[in-house]
Amino acid sequence: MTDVMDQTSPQIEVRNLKTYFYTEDGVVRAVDGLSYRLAKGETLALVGESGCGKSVSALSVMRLIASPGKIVEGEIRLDGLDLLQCSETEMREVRGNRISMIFQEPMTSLNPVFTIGNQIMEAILVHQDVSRKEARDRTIAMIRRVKISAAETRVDEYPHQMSGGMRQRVMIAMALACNPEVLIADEPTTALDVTIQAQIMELLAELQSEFQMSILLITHNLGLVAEVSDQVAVMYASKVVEHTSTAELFASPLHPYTHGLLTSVPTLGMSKEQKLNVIPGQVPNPLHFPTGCRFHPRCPVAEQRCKQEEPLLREVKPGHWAACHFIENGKSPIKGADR
Amino acid sequence: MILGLFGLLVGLAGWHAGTLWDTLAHTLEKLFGANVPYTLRDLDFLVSTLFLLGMLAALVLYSGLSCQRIRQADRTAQGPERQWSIVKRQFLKNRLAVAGALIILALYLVAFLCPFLAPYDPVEQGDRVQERLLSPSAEHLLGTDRFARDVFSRIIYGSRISLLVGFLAMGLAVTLGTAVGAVAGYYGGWVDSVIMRFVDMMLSFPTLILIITVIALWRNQSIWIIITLIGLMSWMGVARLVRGQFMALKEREFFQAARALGAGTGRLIFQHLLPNSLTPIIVSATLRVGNTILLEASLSYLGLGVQPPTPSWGNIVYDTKGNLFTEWWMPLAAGMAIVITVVGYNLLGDGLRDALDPRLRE
Repeated sequence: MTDVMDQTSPQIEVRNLKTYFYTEDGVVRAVDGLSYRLAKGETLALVGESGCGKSVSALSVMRLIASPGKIVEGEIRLDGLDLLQCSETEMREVRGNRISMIFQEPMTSLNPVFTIGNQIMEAILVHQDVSRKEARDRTIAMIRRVKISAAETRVDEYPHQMSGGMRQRVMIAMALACNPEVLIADEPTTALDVTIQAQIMELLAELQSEFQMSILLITHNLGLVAEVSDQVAVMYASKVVEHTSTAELFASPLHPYTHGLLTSVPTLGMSKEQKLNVIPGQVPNPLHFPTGCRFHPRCPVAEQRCKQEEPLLREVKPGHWAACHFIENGKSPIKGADR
Repeated sequence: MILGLFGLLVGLAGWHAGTLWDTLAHTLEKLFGANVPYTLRDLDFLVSTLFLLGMLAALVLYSGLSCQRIRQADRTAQGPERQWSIVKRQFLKNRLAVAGALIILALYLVAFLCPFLAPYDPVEQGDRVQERLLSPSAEHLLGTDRFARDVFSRIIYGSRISLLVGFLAMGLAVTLGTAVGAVAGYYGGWVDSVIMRFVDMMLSFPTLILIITVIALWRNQSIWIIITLIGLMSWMGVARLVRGQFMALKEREFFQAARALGAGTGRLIFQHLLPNSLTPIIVSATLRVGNTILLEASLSYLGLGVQPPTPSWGNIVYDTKGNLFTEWWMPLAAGMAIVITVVGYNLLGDGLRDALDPRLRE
């Protein structure tokens, strides 16, 4: 896994994706030139603070951006098929069938007036020409697959009768009911207890190897990233600032922002007196991004050049991309960043 | 369950139409031509009895089915039962709501059993000299009007008109309002703007005056036209409600999730948005019935509604208003009937809202 950006046949490939929102106050550049490739069975984690464009990029792949949002540029290829050229009807065939999505809030992502069985069945009936009887059998099998006990009886339960973890399992069952090639998990465990989080991630990993699907994991939880993903893309202010394999990122984070992120996570065994590293300042307003490098107002090593010249995402080391002027010879500008 | 409910509604609508006095007369004419061997009342007896038997059969069948379902449900989870039992308990706790439901139930019973309850034919005129404007007595509970017709029987038969108008006009208004509101709420944007401005425009018309104008221009006062007009003039509130509900539901995550599953427009509307908007629709429909009944009564009182001799509460008041100071019990009884019905529906609607809305529970 050295050449993360250069595999031969990616399952899904996003190139220079730009999604803008044309609001009354001005243009919000929510995703500004995102590119990645994801091979079969591989996991890419998209990491960043709230509002950096992670979720919008996921919804863009599903083509679920509602007005005033618009995908203005780019290419999204699913096994060669250009999704941005597809009609709405063709997209409906893709959604839930070839690309599925699970959402952050399992408590509200299920329709409260139908049984969970009905909702999983819906996913099957929308895309496959099977009888209701067969769809129901498959639904029960699916519920069993996501490790909900007593599937035959729970299939007729309503969402309000289930716990958050159970509902997220139902969401996963819905998403995987048609055996998708790509699964987009938008902060799948953020709303859950820590113990449940681990169970859900374990389940996802298991199902991933079983179904051989690619996962796009959107998260701000770096612990989760370390455990499950193969590659990581760090986003800041609608742009990717660093992109490499997970092992490489944790071993030698090169971008000052990534470094800040990693050191702002508390670790077990930290003493009370030890202070967490804080990235000063705030996430910039997407209506008025800073000129030059968007991170410069908060960057500890910023210089005059950063205010004027925007750094490009470049390969600073084999298989390691970063967007910073000061990375030279694969060395971070921050001293002691290499661990 | 939804199928059963639908069947019940269709059955009610059919019965409503079937027992209307002029429909009956029409049928009789068709069946026997000029020399009618039976009277309207005989036919009414027949229709009512058949309908009662049908309802009983449906009830037995339905309870049999649900018994089976409950037995099945005992073995599995008790999802819907539990939810409905909460609503039921909440509803039964509210005395006024139960009173409203009982009033409506009693009214429907009266309307069903008209030929059995009414001592006289409501349109038959007695001896114009001997039996005109009689005071209440054991024979004529509310006396007779100036055409020597039994007022008590007329009021009993009048319930059919009020319930029919309330039911059908409300049904039309709710269907239309839901459809319009759904389109506006689902598509949003300029579609929504255009539709909602049209709704605003409709709301700014004085309903009664518009209906009177249309009826005057049309020169046709069939009950069906009146029902249609009332329905066409009272869907706007429902449209606003449904639109708002759809707008709010569209922001909910399950809607987004359904879209991500590849659900199409029809599925999104009928599976996800509409079922989740049903509660406010049911409540507003119930509360609206009272309004439509009042509107019909107003029209009939003005002589523009149901035409005599077919009895309706509004035209009974109209017929007897000349006797207000001497035979005051006649308009009073008809007026009370209207008041009780409207209050019954409003109590029922309020109770349903309290029982169905989880936010109002303590």
